[in-house]
Amino acid sequence: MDPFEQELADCLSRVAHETNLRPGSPNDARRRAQSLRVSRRRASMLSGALVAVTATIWGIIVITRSSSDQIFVGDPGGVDSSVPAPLAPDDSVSVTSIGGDGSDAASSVLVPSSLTWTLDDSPQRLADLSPIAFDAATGSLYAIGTQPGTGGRKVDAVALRSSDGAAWEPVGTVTDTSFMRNLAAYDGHLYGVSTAAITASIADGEDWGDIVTRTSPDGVNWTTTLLPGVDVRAVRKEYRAAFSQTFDVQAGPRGTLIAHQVAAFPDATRLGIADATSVGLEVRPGGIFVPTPPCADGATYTPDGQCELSNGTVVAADPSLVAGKGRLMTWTELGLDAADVALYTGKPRFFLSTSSGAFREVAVPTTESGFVESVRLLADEEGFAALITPRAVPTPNRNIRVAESQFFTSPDGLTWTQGPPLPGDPWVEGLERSNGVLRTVTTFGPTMNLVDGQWQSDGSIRALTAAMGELRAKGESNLSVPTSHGPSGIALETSFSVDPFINADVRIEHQQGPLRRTRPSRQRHRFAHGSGSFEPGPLVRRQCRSARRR
Amino acid sequence: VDATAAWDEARAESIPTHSIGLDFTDFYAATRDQVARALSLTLGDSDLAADATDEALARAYLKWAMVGRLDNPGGWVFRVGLNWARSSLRRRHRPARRLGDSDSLDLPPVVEPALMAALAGLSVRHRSVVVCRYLLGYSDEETANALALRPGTVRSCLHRALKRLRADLGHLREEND
Repeated sequence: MDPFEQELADCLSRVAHETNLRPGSPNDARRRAQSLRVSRRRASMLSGALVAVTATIWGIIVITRSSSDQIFVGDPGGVDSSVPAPLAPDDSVSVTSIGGDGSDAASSVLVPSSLTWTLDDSPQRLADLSPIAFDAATGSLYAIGTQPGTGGRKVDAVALRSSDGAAWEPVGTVTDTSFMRNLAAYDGHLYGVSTAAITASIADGEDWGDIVTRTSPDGVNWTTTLLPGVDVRAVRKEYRAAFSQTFDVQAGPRGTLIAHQVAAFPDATRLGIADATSVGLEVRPGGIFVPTPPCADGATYTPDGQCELSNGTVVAADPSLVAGKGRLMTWTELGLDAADVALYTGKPRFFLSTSSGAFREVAVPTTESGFVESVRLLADEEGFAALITPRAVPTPNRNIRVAESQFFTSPDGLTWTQGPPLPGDPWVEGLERSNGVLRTVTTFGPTMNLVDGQWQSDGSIRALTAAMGELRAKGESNLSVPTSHGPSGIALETSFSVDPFINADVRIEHQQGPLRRTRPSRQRHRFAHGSGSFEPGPLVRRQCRSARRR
Repeated sequence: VDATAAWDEARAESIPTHSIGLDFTDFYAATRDQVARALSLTLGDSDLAADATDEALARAYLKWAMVGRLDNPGGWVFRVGLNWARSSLRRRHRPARRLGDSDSLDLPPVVEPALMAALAGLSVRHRSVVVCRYLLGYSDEETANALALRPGTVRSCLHRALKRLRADLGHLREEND
């Protein structure tokens, strides 16, 4: 480099370093990548893969890993160069048509997948197959379903056991329960969280069932205990309304951990907000968003949500006048203390049971106040892990989850250490770790992915690959996918049913074979279709062609 | 800082960057501002440059398994960002700003006004070659890889650009002489 070139380089460097740049962060890039991925998926959907129809669908997909193909096993301390790069889009494409009677037109499509798919028989007589749980000690897969043909508010649930996700046997009945949405299993013991027996109508809004844990040593005999310190009825009496949900339950050799949430809905009167109704209030990070009154200038917003004009005429409010406009009232402005904030934001609460069997409330891993979208737990021989996903604030045009999840680990469920960010989509349905690999099942909108992340020597987790046939449901944007990891694979449950108690159709998919970079040559689907009494309907067999593009 | 140093050291010694085990976060820290500043000089628009860099880094994140194994992933980000910015300008029916134009307000008070004027006289391609070579410190081959050009084309562009810059910035040479 001659002196002129050297001077040129120096000048360029000085000018460059005096340039005012907008700041950025890796998280910005990740969020932008998520948006990019979503827009690409939407474009892909528009391009139209083969779409077929099922009526309401319940399914379980079991991915069985082969011990002979250890593609994803690596040294936790380093980068395994033998790990293949993610599949290129053209590498393997299988398009699967899923049939049904078509009456409800819930469409789904599997696009591109590097997995081998097969389908076994379905448990036709299951109705509401809600929570599923692998027992890591025994390898059994448990589920709680409703009895065939039962419906209404008072239902008896049946505990079912399967060794492969295809054939199920009833092992016991859970009486007088309503929705048991969470189940964990370890060494033959079952742990669930649900509302207590429904002794009063839900519809009158006054007497929700208490939140109880249900434990059983065998799936037959069940013990019911109150979840300590969770009194939804008291919250409902004090606040306008309350919401309660169990995020997750996981059981392992070091105990059973529950993540639960009770949240109160903001009440305009209670909060002293005069120019808004309770319905329009929205809890956001830092406070409560108060929408601008949807009335024309000069009109007064009445407590019942109408607009009173200056001449005394009362007209209907028009939200389009002020769409998206409003102000954020901070917690301080509202005069709320930490307990109120925790309740409004639905700060998660953790409950731990060790060998004693009784659940007690323990500290949550993060000190931040609530505003949590989801908590996913993991219980294994190393202890526990928790993935806490903050709620995302919708942007005007992008109603997507983009929040960065926080990952914590604990040896005992009491003391937690924050871990690195996890690769993949932010919405994680299930976690598993083994051999230095953290495996997550993620959903983003109506798509699902399986992401394997490998711990690096610097403590971070790097995505090795992501692969899963994406299951998309027409009209469904936010799937809830109960997921459980076990020694024989991953069980996923997808539900698109409008009314699982009355009109659930059942579909069971069983996926065999390891994650591999080969393409299925043949797929078979078999459907049991029923309604009302859940008698098996006509079986539909389909050959699903995989279209290989070379 | 450590990540940046490790990155620079690896690049200086032509070590494949994946072998030094840097992950995306490290790469981002080492690359983002560097590439954004380079694009800012190339495009004459720091906001567009930052946006292009962020877009390119988001794409790099999506393809990190591939990009992270490139010998010069920063060059990949520069090229993707540059292409994205130019496409964006085409969509908006706007040409790339000429450095030194009155609306190039995003750039700092010029250390050497004549330098900006001289750079402004170059085409975007020549400018990008100059920036890769003298600001990012890429070799001819790295510049060629980063810009998806042949090495011969890079040398040709560089020769022409330098010829013009030498003519416009003769005083720099005289001062050094």
